[in-house]
Amino acid sequence: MKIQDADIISAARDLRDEQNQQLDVAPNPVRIHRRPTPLWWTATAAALVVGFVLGKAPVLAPAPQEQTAPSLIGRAGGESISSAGDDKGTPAIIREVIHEVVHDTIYETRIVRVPVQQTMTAQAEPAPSTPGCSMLCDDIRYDLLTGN
Amino acid sequence: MKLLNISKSFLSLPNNGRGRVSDEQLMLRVGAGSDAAFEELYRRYARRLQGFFFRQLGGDEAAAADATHDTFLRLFEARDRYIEGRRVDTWLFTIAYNLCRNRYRRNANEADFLATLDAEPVTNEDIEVEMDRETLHRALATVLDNLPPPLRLLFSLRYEEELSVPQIATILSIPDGTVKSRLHKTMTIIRKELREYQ
Repeated sequence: MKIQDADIISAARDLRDEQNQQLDVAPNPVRIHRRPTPLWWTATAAALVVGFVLGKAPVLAPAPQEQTAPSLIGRAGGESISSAGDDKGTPAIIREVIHEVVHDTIYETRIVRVPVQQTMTAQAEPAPSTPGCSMLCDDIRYDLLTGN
Repeated sequence: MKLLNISKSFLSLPNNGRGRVSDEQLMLRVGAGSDAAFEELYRRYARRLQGFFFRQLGGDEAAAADATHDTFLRLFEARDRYIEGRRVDTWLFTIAYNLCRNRYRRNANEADFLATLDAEPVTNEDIEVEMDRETLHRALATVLDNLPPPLRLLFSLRYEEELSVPQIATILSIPDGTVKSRLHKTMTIIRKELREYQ
């Protein structure tokens, strides 16, 4: 076909459309940073002052009164469980649970006692005395010693 | 209360009659600090500009994306200087044209080339080209890529971006008549080149 200027322009626009559609358009590079307004400055300053005062409040406030040390009021009961040891080496254990009342709080105290076993070592038996052991009795007759 | 009235009237600017806020109204809102207005301008022109740069910068997609970003950054930086009534697309393509020129001017003596071109008389020679549509598409892509950059820019602004002759004259800071004569010569060169492919 005979090419007219309009054909060239039309073909150029087709190429343009093809190319434009294939492009990955990057995201907007501009993120607008607004200039702070006088209202913004006022609000920021107010927030800083309030934050400062709140932060200083514990320092400015009167010191709290000393609290008395918790004192034991009484015991609310308790229990004691004990288990005897056996000859296999299990030690005897005594468990005690004490409920102590301090102000309005009940503390449960658990005490576990394991008696320390005394290790006994076998002592050698004394050697039997031989007759006529003493130098005193060496020369004494037997009948005299026995009274017979 | 006065402030409220101003903002209400500002937000209810009349549309361009097609149910769409005009570019110029959007630009005014950008100047007033509207993020959404700038986002809308970007949505309208980013792909078009990136395609324009893609064709002017030898098909370099990354360079085209960078140039598009530069264009919008410059527009944003100049938002306070926007003159009400000035066409936003002309402004955008003026920035784009200058960015392109800064790139290719390093390697080509643009002024000499254009001076020679403008000195040549406009002829009415009829260069007949015959080929089918498919061949035309393939051949035209090559011919356009090989055009001298100032003519490629001119062809693109007029026929691909569909800007008017007065708009192009504003962008290039030349008279309307010079735009027309350069366009005519560009089309003659294209037809001569296309004959090689028939």
